[in-house]
Amino acid sequence: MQGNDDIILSATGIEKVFPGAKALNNVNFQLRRGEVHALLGENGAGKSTLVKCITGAYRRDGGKLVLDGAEIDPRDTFEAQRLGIGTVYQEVNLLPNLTVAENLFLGRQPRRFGLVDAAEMNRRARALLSGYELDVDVRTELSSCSVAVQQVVAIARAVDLSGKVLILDEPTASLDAHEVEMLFAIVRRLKSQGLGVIFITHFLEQVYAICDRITVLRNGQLVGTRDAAALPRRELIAMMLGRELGDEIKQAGNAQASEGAVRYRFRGYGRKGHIAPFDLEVRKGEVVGVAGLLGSGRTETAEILFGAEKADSGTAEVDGKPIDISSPRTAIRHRFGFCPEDRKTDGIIGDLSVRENIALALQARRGWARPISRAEQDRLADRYIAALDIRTSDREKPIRLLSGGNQQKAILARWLATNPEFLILDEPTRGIDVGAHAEIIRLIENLCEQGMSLIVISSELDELVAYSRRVIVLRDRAHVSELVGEEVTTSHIVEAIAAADKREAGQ
Amino acid sequence: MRIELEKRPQASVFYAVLSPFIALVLTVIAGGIMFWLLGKDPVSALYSFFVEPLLDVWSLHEIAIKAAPLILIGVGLSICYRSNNWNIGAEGQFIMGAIAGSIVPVVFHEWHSPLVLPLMLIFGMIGGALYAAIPAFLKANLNTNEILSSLMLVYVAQFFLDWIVRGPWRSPEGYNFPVTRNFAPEAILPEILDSGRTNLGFVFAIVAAVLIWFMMRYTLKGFEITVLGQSERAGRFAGFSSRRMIWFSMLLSGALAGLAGISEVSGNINKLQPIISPGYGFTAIIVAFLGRLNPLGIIAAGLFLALTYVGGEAVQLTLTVSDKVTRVFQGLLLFFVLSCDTLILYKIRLVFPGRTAAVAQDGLQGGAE
Repeated sequence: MQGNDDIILSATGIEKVFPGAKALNNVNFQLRRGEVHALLGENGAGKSTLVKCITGAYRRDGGKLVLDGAEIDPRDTFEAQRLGIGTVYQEVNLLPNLTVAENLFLGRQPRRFGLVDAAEMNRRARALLSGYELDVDVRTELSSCSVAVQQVVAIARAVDLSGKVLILDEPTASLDAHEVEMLFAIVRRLKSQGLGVIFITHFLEQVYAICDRITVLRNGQLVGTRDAAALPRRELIAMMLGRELGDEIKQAGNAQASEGAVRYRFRGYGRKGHIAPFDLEVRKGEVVGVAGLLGSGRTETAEILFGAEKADSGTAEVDGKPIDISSPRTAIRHRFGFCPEDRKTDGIIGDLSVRENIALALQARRGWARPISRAEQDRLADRYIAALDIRTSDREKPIRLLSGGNQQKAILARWLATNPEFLILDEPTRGIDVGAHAEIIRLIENLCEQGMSLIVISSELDELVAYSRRVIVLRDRAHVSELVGEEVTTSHIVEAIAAADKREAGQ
Repeated sequence: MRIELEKRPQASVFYAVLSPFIALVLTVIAGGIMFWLLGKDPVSALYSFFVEPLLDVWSLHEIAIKAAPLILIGVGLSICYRSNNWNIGAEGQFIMGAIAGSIVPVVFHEWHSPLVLPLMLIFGMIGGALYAAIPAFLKANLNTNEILSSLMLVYVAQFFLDWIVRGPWRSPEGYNFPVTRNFAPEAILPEILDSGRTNLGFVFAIVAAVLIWFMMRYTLKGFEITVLGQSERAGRFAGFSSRRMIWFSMLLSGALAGLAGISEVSGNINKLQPIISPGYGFTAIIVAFLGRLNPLGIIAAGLFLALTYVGGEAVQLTLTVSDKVTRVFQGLLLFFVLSCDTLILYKIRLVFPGRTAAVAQDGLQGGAE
C-alpha cells in the first residue's frame, strides 16, 4: 500500500567516524509519511548519533539525506528545522522564565510598530495549542507548567516550525503514565496529519503502544527495520542484544526471603510537604519494592530514609535500637547506602576517575585523617570493575565518559565497597540498556541472598515483581498499600495504584 | 558571515593553559588603544606601564609588596571558588583582619614585647575569619546567597574602619588627622632583604600558596573540596558534608584575607587610616581566576596584577593620566580572561551564508564520544 512517494525522509549509507570508533557504518533509514517509527538499540548503538547526523548537529562523514524528494545537507539544527525536521529532547529545550506563548514564538514574535504585539502573539499561541487539548493559559510562565505540558509546548513549537518530520528523543523518560497517554494522543493526531515521527525510547511497552515500524541499530550498524505488529517482543530484544536474553522476566515467588526478625523499623516516619508519615519494616535479606507513579513520593521516601531530607516526625530503629538519621553522613555510619535516581547530578562526579568514584563513599566515611592508600584504591576499583563487569578501558578514565549502565554499576560499586547492610536503590535500571538491566537485577538478587536488606524503587513493574518479596504502593506522597508474597504481581500493583486513584476520585 | 559557538565534546586542555595568555595579549592591545585614544603614544605608554617597573630594584620591591596581599587573598578565594562558595567579600575580611590585628599596637601601645607581632598576626587571622563567618553562617543555616551577603559586608567594614580611625582610635598626636597612632617598631613586619622594602608578608604569601597547593594535591581535604565543588549533591549523598565545607572554605579564606590585612597595615602602612587597600580584596578575585584557581598559578597572577598597580602609578607620573587607568586594566583583564575561558568549552566557527562549507577555526579538536 505504500509506494515510494510515501517516503518523507530517507537516509542512505550514513557514516560517522569518531576518533577511535566508527559510530555509524553504512546505515540506511527510511521514514514514511504518517508513521511513528521507533529507533531502538542499546546504549552506544548509534541512535543519537544517527539523529544528530539527520538534524545537522553532527557533520556526517558519508551518505545521502533526502527529504521530501530533495537532497538536503543541513549544517546545523536551525537549518534542519527550516527544512522541516524538528526535534524534541528529553530535557525540554525551552526558556523556563518566558511564557508559553513567548516560547512558542521565540525569535519570530509578531510585531507591531517595531514592538512585540503581545495580544496577537497570545491569540496565535492559543490557536496553535488549540489542537493539542491542552488546558493552559498561554500567558503563564513555562517553569510553572508540568514537565508534560512543557514537552507538549516543545512539540507544538517544533511541529509549527518544521512540519514534516518530528524527532522525539526519549520524550517520556520523566513522565508518568497519564502524561505518557496524553503525549501519545498528540503523537497519533500528528501522525494522522501526515507527519513522520521518529521515536527514541527505552520503554519497550511504549514502542508497541504507538509505533508502526521499528528500526534497530547495534554497534553503529543497521540490524533491520520491521513492522511492529510482526515483531514479537522477544525477537526485538534479541535483535537489540544480538543474543537471546537469558530469562527476560523471572516470575515472582521468591518467598524464600525469610520470616526472620525485622532489622529496620521506621514508625510514623515522614516530612511535611515531602511524604506523609509511614511505617516500614525491613528484614535481613529482604527486598522491599516501592511502586507508584512519578511524583507519588517514591524518591521522597528514599531521600528521607537516607537522611538526605530530615524527617520531622517518627522514629527509626535498627535491631530494636533507636537511631538518628538526620544526614547522609549519619545514615552511612549505620551502614546505609543510597543509589539516587538522578545519576548525573546526585551520583557521579563526572571529571573524577572511575577509581575515585568507587572509593568515594568509603573515603568519606573514614574521614580525611585516614586516607585510603593508592594501592588499596586500585585494588578496590579493580575488584569491583571485574565483579560488576564495569566496561571501561581502565580505572583512571573519567566516569562521565562511561555509558549510563556502567556509571550505574560504578555507583553501586561505591556503596558495595562500604559493606552496607541496608541499601536503597532509586530506579537502578532507569535509562540503561536491556543487557545491563538483566545484570543489575541479578546483582540485586545476589545481594539479598548474602543477607543485605534492600529497598528498590522502580517504575518497571516486571522488575519489581521479579525480585521483591513485598511491594509498597505509593500515591500522592503517601504509602497507600502493601502487597506481600503471592499478591506481588504486576496486575495487583496496577490495581493498587488504580484503587487508590478511585478512592481519590470518590472523595 | 556569522560567528557561532560550538560546544566541544570535552574541555580542551590546550586552551585551559593558553587562555590566560591570550587574555593578557588582548588586554595589552586594548590598553594600547585606550592610551592612543587618550592622545598618548601607545608604545611608550605600554612600555612605562608594563616594562619600566621591572627594571628598577625599588619598583621590584613595590611589586612584591603589592603582590603579597593579592596572593594571600587569592589562594584563599581559590579554595572557596573550587568548592562553589562564592566569597566576594575578601576586601571586608581584609579590613576586619587589619582592625583586629591592630588592637594590640593601638590599644595596648604601652606594652612592648616580642610577642606583639605574633599576637597581631593571630588576631588578624581571627578577625578576618570571624568576619567571613557571618556569610558562612547565613549560607549554612539560612541558605542565604553568600555572594550578596559577603559583598555587602565589605561596605560595613569600610565604614567601620572609617569610624574607628576618626573616633575611638584616633591618634592623640595626629593633629586631628583620621589616623591611629604609629605602630611601635616591634609591631612592624621586618623587611627581608637589604636592598628594599619587601617585608615578611611576601614570605607568608608564598608559604600559604605552597601549603594550599599541597593540600589540594595530596590531601583528602583537597579531594573533598574537588568533589563537593563539582557536584554538591553527589558529594553529600556519598557522605561528605557540604555545610562543613561552607565553614571550612569561608573561614580559611577569611583568615588568609585577615592575615593579608594585618600584614599590609603592619608592614607597609604602619598605622590604620580610612583607606588601607586599593581594592586588593576585589583584585584578588581576578588573581584567583587568572591563576586558574591553582595556588601556583595564583603566585604568577598576583605578581602580574601587582605590576598593573605599580605600572599605573608610573604612568600617572610620567604621562599624567588618571590613576583609574589601573582599574581599567584590571577590568579589561578579568573581562578577557572570562571571555577566553569560553574557548575551553566551545570552539568558534565562522559560518558564511550560502553553500560554503563551515570553516572550523580550530584545527585541534575532533569529536570524541
